[in-house]
Amino acid sequence: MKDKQAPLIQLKREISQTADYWVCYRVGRTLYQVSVQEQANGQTNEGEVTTERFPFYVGMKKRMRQLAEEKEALGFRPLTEEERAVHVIDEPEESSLDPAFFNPAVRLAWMLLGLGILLFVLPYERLNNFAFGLGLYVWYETFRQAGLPKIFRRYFHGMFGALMVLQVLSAFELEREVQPYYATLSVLSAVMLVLLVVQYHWKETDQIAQGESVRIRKIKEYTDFEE
Amino acid sequence: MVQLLKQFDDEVYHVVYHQEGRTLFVREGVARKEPASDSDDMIEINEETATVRMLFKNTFAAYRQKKEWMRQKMDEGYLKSHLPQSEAMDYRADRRNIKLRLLSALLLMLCGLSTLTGLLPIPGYVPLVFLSFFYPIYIEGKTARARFYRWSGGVFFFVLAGSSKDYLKPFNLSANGTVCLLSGFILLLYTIHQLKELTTKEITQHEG
Repeated sequence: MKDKQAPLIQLKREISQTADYWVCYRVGRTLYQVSVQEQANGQTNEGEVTTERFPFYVGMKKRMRQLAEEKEALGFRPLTEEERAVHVIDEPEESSLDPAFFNPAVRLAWMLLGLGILLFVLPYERLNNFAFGLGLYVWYETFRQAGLPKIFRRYFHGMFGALMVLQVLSAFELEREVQPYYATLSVLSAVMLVLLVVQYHWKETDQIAQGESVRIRKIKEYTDFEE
Repeated sequence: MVQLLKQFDDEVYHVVYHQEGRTLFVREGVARKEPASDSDDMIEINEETATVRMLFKNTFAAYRQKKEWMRQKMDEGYLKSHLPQSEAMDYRADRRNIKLRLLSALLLMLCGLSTLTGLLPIPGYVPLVFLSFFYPIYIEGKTARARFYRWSGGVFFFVLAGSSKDYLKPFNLSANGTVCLLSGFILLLYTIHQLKELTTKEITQHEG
C-alpha cells in the first residue's frame, strides 16, 4: 500500500488558451517527468521525458515532492477529480540494453576473472584492494545502463554491498580470511557480466526464422561417367 | 526433434515437431518438383507454414500431446525420417545445443570454484571427461576466434590430465581450478560467438 500512495503527481497550469500538464511518476528506481502542452484547438505537444535514476529507493519521494513544489511555484495546481478521471497516462516502455556495452562488459569480465584467479593463487593482500576498486567500477558501469534486466541489477547491487562488507572486515585486520571471498565474488561477477551478454543474444535468437518460408533448390542431374 | 514425411506423387509432405521444456514447436510443409520457367532444369520448391508455438501446463503434457499427434500422423501414412526437413527447426535444435554448452560451462566454473576454495576438491579427470564432450571440435572454415577457442581447450586437457595424479597437492589444486575457471569462461564466450552466428545466419534461397 505504501508504494501506491504517491507514485504519480499530476499538475496543471492554464495560461489563456493553452493548458500545460506536468506529470511525475516513478517505476522502480527511475523517476520520470513528462510535460504536455494542450492548445485550445485540441492539439497537444508532448515535451521530452526526463528520467532520473536513483541507486536506492531512499530519497525518491522527497525528490518528487521537491519537483512538485518547484512547479507549483510556477503556477501549476493539482488536478481535480474529474480531470483525473479523464486523463489516462501511459507509461513509456523500458528501454532495452545497449549492445555497445557488451564489448566493455566482456573486457571487464576478463579482468575480473584474471583478478579472481590471482586472488586464489597468490598470497598478496594488496590484490584485495584491486578487486574492491574493479568491483566498484563494474557496479558503476552497470548502474549507468538503462535497460539492465532486474535480476542483474539486483545482483550487481548485492555485489556492491558485499564488497563494502568485505572492505570493512579487512579494516579489522582480517585481510587473509577475506581473500577467498573476494576471489569468489570476482569470479561470480565475471560470470554474471558474460551471462548478461549471453542472455541478450539468447532472447534475440528466439524469434529468428519462425515465419513462413519458401525454399527453392535446383535439382542437378549428374551425368554418368561410365560412358 | 521428430521429422515425419509422406510422399504423394511428386509431392513430399512433412511435419517437424520440436519440444523445448513445456513448449512445443510444430512446422508443416510440402516440397514439390516443378520444371523451372527459364531453363530445362527441374527445381524443388519447399513451402513451409509459420512455426506454431504452443505452451503446455508441464513438460509431460507437451510430450504426451506430441506423441498423440505423431500417432495420428503415422496412421495417415507418414514415416519417420532422419533427413532435415526444415531449416527453421534446425535453428531451434542449434539453440538447444548452445544451451547445453552454456550449462556445461557453468558447471565447469563451479568445479573450478569448489576446487580453488577447497570446499570440495575435484580431481582433474572429472572435468576432463565432460569438457571433452562440449568443447568445439569442428573448426574447418571457422574464424580465427573459434579456432582459438578450440586450441586453448587442447592445452587445458594436458593440464587437467597432469594435475589428476596427487590432486590434493596445493600446486595441483591451484592448476586444476585455474584451468577449470579459464576453460569454462572460454566456453561461455564461445556460446556468445555461436549465438551471434545464429543471428547473422538467415534462411536464404539455395541455388544450385
